[in-house]
Amino acid sequence: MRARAALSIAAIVLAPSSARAAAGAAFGETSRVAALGDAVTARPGDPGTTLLNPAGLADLKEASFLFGGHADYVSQWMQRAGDPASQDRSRGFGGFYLAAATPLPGPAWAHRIGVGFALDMPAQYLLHLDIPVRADQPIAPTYDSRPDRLAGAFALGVKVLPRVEIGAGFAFTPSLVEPALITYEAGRAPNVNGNVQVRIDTTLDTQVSSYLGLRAEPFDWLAVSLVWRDAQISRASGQQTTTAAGISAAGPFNFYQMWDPSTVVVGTAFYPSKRISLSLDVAWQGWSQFHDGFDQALPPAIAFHDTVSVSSGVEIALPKGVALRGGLSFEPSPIPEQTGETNYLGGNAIIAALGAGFDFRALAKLPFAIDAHVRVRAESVESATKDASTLPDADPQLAGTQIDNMGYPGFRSQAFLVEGGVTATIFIGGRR
Amino acid sequence: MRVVNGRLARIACIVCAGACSGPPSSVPAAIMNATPSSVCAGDHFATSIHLDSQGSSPVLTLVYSPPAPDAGAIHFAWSFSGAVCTGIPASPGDWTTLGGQAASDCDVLIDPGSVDALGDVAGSDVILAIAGDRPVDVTLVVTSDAGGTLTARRTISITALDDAGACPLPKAN
Repeated sequence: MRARAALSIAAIVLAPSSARAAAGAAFGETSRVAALGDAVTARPGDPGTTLLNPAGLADLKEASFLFGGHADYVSQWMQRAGDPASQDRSRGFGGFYLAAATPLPGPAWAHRIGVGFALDMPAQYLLHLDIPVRADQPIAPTYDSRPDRLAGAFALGVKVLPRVEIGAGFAFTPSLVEPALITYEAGRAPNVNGNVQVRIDTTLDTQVSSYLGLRAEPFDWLAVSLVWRDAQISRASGQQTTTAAGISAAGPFNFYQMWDPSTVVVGTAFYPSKRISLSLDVAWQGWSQFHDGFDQALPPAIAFHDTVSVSSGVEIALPKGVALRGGLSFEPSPIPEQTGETNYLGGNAIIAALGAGFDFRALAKLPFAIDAHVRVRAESVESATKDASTLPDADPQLAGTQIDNMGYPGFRSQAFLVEGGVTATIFIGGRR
Repeated sequence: MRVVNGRLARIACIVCAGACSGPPSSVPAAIMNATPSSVCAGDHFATSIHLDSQGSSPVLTLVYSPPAPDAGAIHFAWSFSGAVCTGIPASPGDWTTLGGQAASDCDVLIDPGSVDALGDVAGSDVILAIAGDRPVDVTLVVTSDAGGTLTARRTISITALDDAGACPLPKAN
């Protein structure tokens, strides 16, 4: 098999209490957004939708601040054909988030502008790039690293016409720059290991991507939206220089993680009555631009597919500020059948969510609200049968073709995620 | 010697404040060799494979140096993918399993001499054979007396038969 250098960077490990949120980290949406199946781009905005559609910020009636958290457990297994037992890849993770948004103060024209900021922080890592030692190591792009990153978003929305809003923003995520110098100086120390010097300079940079949004309400009972988001990517890169006995070898390394591909969302929200609202988002995602951990495009035969996912949400407003929510989504897997060297894991997924909100302004004239949700993400079983003729020779020194692929002669895999979360919103400014 | 700049030093402080409770345990070196490293497809336990971890050491070093006499002992724990059985080779390809299973139900057959009284595979050397219908992943965990552990992984590969259906690997002496 192709021998590859390896690096698994758990770049910066914090004590278990950091966060992520409504800024793009996977599974970091606010409870309201998660309960509505993420189908919120055509709905009026709030701090939790800063990334999903910045145009909605122009709807803000007052300044508000929210924070919350979520806990997730993903049960995932992989079983190679013929093996008596599966490999358990289950794990738990979680995160926190905060977001704030406000209409601009001042003259009436300024009220047409809203600004928002959101920050997601995972519970365990600020940045986790998982670059496998072997190209055939099983990887679940949805679950392995995506929830583990710091993410932020800043956006601005403007009501350009009475029923038309536009918005723009940028999202940021960290990247790591880590040049290393390794030298060997014979005789420097009494033992041979003391002769080795390693110098590492680490810098945590910010990778920025942009996004745009449009929201229009042609009628009181109908709203539509259009959103574009650029891909969100992190890198770990640097130059490793090794020097010994007058010989110097320098080589760059560039590890790569695509968190989310370029995305275009078309949405609609429908208000059949004052108490009921329905929404539907259709999202195209450019997964065909997915690169492996070494920033190499996948060969065409095993390249990811672009996907079109559908999400829907319903919200029922009850008296006394109580809201009930439900969401249902379908996300097709971008991963083709893994007949070749790679073993990417992930099947088509159905996501179902339920949630409730309690607005204490209506209940007790207190300026805060609490939202909660539960969500499940159920994947279909992924199956693959390897084509031995496409697998690389694991040891060219030996006669014949050696196969050591971790998925040979085939495998099955499945994942099921359960999540719970809560969001608290504090309303700071009075209603306009 | 490890030189870090101020920024990394601050990050390290955050890390240690939350996560460190003392200096890390001495990490051993886990070295594993397999001879042969591959068998032909459909080998049916005909090839005896020797796994050798005698190159392991109580202390992980960038440049190999013999361990100090007081470095302590190291302990081995082997594990294998697939169905693992213990068996005796009556002749090449003719194994009798000690657990009563049919050899055809096993992916890995381990020589009883490599299994201790508790049924664990915990020696520095292991003799085994594999069915040869898929690769076998071998995991070796080396633990030092100081409490450090290091894991080495290796895959015993399958060599595809040639167009004539013959094994292209040279026959073992």
